[in-house]
Amino acid sequence: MRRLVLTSLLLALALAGLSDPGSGFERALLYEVLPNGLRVVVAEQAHSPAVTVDVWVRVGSRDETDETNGAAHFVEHMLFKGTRRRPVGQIAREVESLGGWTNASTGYDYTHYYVVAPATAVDRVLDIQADALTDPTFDPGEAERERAVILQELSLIHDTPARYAFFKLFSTAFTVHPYRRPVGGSPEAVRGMSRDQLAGFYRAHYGPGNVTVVVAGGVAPRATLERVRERFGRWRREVARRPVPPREPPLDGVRRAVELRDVQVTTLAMGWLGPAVSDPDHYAVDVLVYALGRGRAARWVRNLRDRQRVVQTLSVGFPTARDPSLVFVVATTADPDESRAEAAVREEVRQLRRDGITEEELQRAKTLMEAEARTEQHTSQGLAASLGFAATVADLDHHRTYLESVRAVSRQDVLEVARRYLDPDRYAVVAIRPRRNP
Amino acid sequence: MRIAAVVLAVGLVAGLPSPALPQLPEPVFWRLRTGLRVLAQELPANGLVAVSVLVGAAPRVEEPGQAGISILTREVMLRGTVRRTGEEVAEALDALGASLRALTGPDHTEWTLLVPAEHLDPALDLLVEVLTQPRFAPEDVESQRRISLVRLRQQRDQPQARAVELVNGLLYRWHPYRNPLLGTPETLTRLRRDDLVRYHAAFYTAPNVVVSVAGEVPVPVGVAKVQRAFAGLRSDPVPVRVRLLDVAERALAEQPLSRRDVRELQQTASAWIAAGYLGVGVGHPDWPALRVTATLLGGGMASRLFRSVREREGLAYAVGAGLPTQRGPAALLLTAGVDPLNVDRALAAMLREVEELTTRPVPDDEVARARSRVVGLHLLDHEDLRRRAFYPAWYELLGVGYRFDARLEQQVFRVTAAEVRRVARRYLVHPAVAVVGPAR
Repeated sequence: MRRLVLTSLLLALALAGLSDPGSGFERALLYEVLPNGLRVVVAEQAHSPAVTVDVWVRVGSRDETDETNGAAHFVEHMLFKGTRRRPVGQIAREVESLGGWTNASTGYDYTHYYVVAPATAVDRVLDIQADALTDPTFDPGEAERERAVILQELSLIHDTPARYAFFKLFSTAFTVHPYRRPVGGSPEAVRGMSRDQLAGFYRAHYGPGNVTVVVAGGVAPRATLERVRERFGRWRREVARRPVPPREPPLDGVRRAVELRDVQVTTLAMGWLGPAVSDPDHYAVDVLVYALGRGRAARWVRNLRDRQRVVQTLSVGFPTARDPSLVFVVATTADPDESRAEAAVREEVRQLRRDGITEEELQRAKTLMEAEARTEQHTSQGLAASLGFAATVADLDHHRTYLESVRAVSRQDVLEVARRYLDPDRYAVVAIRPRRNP
Repeated sequence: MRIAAVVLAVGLVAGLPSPALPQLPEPVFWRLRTGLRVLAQELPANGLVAVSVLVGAAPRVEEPGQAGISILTREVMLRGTVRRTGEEVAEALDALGASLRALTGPDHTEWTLLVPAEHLDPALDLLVEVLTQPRFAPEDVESQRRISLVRLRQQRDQPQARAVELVNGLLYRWHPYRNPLLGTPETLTRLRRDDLVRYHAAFYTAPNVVVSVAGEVPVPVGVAKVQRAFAGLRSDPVPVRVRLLDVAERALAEQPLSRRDVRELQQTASAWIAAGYLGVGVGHPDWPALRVTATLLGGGMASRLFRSVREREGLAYAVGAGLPTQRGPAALLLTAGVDPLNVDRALAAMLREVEELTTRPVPDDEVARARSRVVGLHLLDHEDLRRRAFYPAWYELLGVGYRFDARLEQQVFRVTAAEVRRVARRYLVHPAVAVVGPAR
């Protein structure tokens, strides 16, 4: 949902082509589909010292099977390793000698690769990105080294209770839909994945029709668009059609997973199946999540943390996804187990289904969402991520109207989605308890 | 001249000419009669304004036995003023679409407001109310104490944070940097409301504060608004004890004469290694070279540690090195997250890289890459308006002056391979090493 926040103004400009809203901030935003199917978005932030080139690919753990679980993430690790033109290690050296940095991430529905660099380096960055994306070598030795690195990364997730609880919540709540598989895969699957499997996964999903290149920052838009055409325009590869995954049946009771760990604090995660991004309900769910969990004045933060003090930390979220994902709450408590905090959340859900939220809470949530959109988009990295996520998980048109749709959400809409999706007796819950009481 | 040097240096690595870096403009600076320092810069920012208030209220000035008082005070300040509860403050900020973040580092507490330009006045008033009129209600102190103790325990559950904490304990024997930012369970339990009130009165004073405004507000307007809003800030001087710290702190953190090691058992899936060397503060002439050295060793994917420990030997998922920007002597810190079975090999490989740096000449192109990285990341971190406001104010508070922000680039680009080797030999001698993880 965070990623989905995007001003309608920007996208209106995108559809209109080059234009000048006169704010002096984003002076232009260009959108074009190249003949090979690759989509390009260029957003100018004239004052910015930086540029972000963010390449988004429509592939994530949703496109995996039990056998290939972890492949999308493994490919992400391999892509900046080396190409025919750039031997192993050169990409990192090149980006860093430009004064920039690079990173990538994999989600349920997407994988993206971004380079942030001084704006004056945009041509070089585009050259590097195009090379890395279209011509990777999947060096077998590198694959072995990277496997060890990924296994280590998975164990780090395991050691961070909040992150672990989040993934565990998804694998507890989902039984048939691929969101049950953790992004990153299981250690067993990662151990068993061959170099050829990875290269095959890459060939099946990485083609211009699945890719959006976003450039944001202190760049000249027309010239930059031309550079993107030069670098990516000759790329040809048909990609596999995305399978339609089985629909997840509703939860029929409380589905619980408990782990005892050598930790001092109890972590609790609870989740309810929410709407898909294509379902207009998700606007009201986004508003609801902000009203409950965003900021110190949010209802659950105030009630559960500051008044009842049954939790010490609390976050409420709803990751926007192609298919229905989870409305979740992750909290920590000093109690030896989760029972008091869980009961308090269930009571809050009951109240919410009865009374909904107040007009003040509604306005507060909307104001926050608009302010966060402004904030997110004032950096090249944030703006590129917003646009790329939009183009990959929903579509640009959805985003043209996103904030407008949020503004139109009423208290009644919020009450209805609360009753439709949240239930005090049907949810998934994960608890990580200290082995001994502290 | 400088730009030409950059082009040459980067060109050596990549074989291609590289474009010059965009330049950072300098903000305008005023010192008000109360001693308050004010910085302002106008720039387009999506209709936003950031106000960063830097206060010299941080672990460096904490008295022995009061570790953690800076963060505890900060958090209790957020829980209410004499006029409103913390909830009311938060609600009022939310209603303006404003966000306020409060962070504490070893030398500073940062209060940064980000607000749509049209709501700057009421948001600024709220911020000043929080800073100058906290109510320090006893029940707020108690509930924040409970939360802080849990956070402290959570931190100890994280092997990475714990390893760094242990290294700091070894390196800074008498210096206040030895304590975790949050304090210790003992000090947190002991602090009383009156301690917080006294701490606030001593350190939230005009001469100990720098305010910086950046974004869509004309400079004179921004300065006038700050002057008006902060008019009531008391102008008492900083305690003498703190003014003497600049002179005394070298003695409080002496260069160790031998390697020191500590291991702590924790039932985690991975083990964490931290190795620290006592370095220098940001005002020291060796700081730029030591920063470049840290980057060359462990900054990014082209660094020596990353290439050898992670890429070549596959011994660690995360490995890196850094030198934080601090007023007092900072530690050059190497860290790695490893499979518990690989602890000894990874540690040996890390220390081997340090040794190599002190015994063999360092290639010019590698130093050039590290310099570019330091400067590039510094520049890129100015993209966020909050950071744009924060940086010059921070350097001003750290004693190197707000202009350091724009001059860092020059200072870093002057660092040569010979200097890297010199500072490596001088400072990277006796590490303090901590390992946290399961028994092997």
